[in-house]
Amino acid sequence: MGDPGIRRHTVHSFDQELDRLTRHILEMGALVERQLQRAIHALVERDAAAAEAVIAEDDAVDELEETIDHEAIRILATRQPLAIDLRMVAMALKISNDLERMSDYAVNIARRAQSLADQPRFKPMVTIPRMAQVCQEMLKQVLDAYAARDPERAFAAWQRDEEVDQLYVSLFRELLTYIIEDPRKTSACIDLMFIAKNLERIGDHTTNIAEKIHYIVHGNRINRMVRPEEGG
Amino acid sequence: MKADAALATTPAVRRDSPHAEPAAATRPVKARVERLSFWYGSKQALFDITMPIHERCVTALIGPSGCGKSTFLRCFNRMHDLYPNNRYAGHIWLEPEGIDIISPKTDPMVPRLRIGMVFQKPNPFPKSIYENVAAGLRIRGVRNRAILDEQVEKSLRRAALWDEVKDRLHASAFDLSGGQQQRLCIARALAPEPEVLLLDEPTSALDPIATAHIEELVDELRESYTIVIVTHNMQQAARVSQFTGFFHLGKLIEFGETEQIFTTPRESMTQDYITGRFG
Repeated sequence: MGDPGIRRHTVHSFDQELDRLTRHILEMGALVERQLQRAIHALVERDAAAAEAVIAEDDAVDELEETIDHEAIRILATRQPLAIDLRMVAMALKISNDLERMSDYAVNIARRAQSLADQPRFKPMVTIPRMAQVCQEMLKQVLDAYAARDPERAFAAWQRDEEVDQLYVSLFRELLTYIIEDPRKTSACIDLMFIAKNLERIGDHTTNIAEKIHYIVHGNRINRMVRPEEGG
Repeated sequence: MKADAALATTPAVRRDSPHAEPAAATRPVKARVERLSFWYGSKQALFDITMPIHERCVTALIGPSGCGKSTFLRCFNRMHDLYPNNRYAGHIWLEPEGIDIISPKTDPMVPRLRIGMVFQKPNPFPKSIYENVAAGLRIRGVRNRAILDEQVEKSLRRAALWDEVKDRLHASAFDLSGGQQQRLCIARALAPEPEVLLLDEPTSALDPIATAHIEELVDELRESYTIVIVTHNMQQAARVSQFTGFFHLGKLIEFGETEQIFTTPRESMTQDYITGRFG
């Protein structure tokens, strides 16, 4: 692990501290990946136990966030990191915050899944699993990019957020049509809409992490104009 | 209190103005180092260094021991002239007149009277506190007691030492603590009102409180002086300076705004050094 392509510090314990920070971020990311996967499973398969598991795991994620805060503050105080080290530590604080938010969204999805489990299903579940799949792939890609300090891979994930946004917009329209056609479906549609919104937010936080990986390596921001839909 | 008399001694003033273009953004420049090389006898210590010293800014010089920072700093007041066989090449233009500090035609007293220096270890003269500060003025021929008194007080105040010594101005400078002695040396350097202040690791022998006093002082002094500081303390360079030059093996590897150097250095060698990945 550590910082591929970067020389080691003269003081080895500094490297070990940075490695530990990276490891905890990746651990946190793995937990969020599993939460997201289980939340969608709970939704599609009406699996109450899976939903409970997602909710229960939130504490572990919060605990890891606290650990990362503590470790980063300690490194700032004792090592006074500069340049790439400083960016690494500062971004660990922000990335853990993104992951913590994503965990909360996964919990929200699990709760909505519980509520939907009691209601009759009126349409095949297609778009939400698709959104979730893209989000999961993005998250995996971004965590791999973080471990490898690979801004190219992070950028590839970053570009896929557009897909999530498009799916979200199309689903929104579709659900609105259902509500207009049959107002008795309103409650279920609102649950689904919130789930889609949560996935869309998860996509956004994933792109945030991608941007932070780029910043760690290059010290500047991803040029937003590169995204073809936005800038041409 | 400027060295007007000394200025009259035919300094080498450049005729054309090769640096007149508005380089280095909009900041005025106090000195321009142009292709400076330096040899201790046959050993070359500085290689072809070009960099600006911005007016009323703090420029920090960082780099591992033996990289040439102090050698570079000492060129500014021609300290190397004290030993034979030392040789300069290139130019250090002192603005606004464009006097080439290291030209053999320039009387070394010209830069020395206009540029003050403080060293790593406090080196007060074996005299009273008062006489230490007044020394530079006496050399310049100031005899008027009122002027001396005024300038001594002003310099001690600027060096944040006045309150601690005002009741014992005629006690020996050696009675002061290390941090106080260093501030006394700064007061001594300030008394003749130099245009440029060179600080060669001014806090490396001091405790954190005395260091904080000196850093605070440097921050205040840059309102009126141009300061060049050599330091081994990265955080200190990052805190007190606006520009930073990274030296390695006698070469200037990177020069830029301090914030850029310490957050996103362009050269991997700079990054390795400031993050502790050197050697």
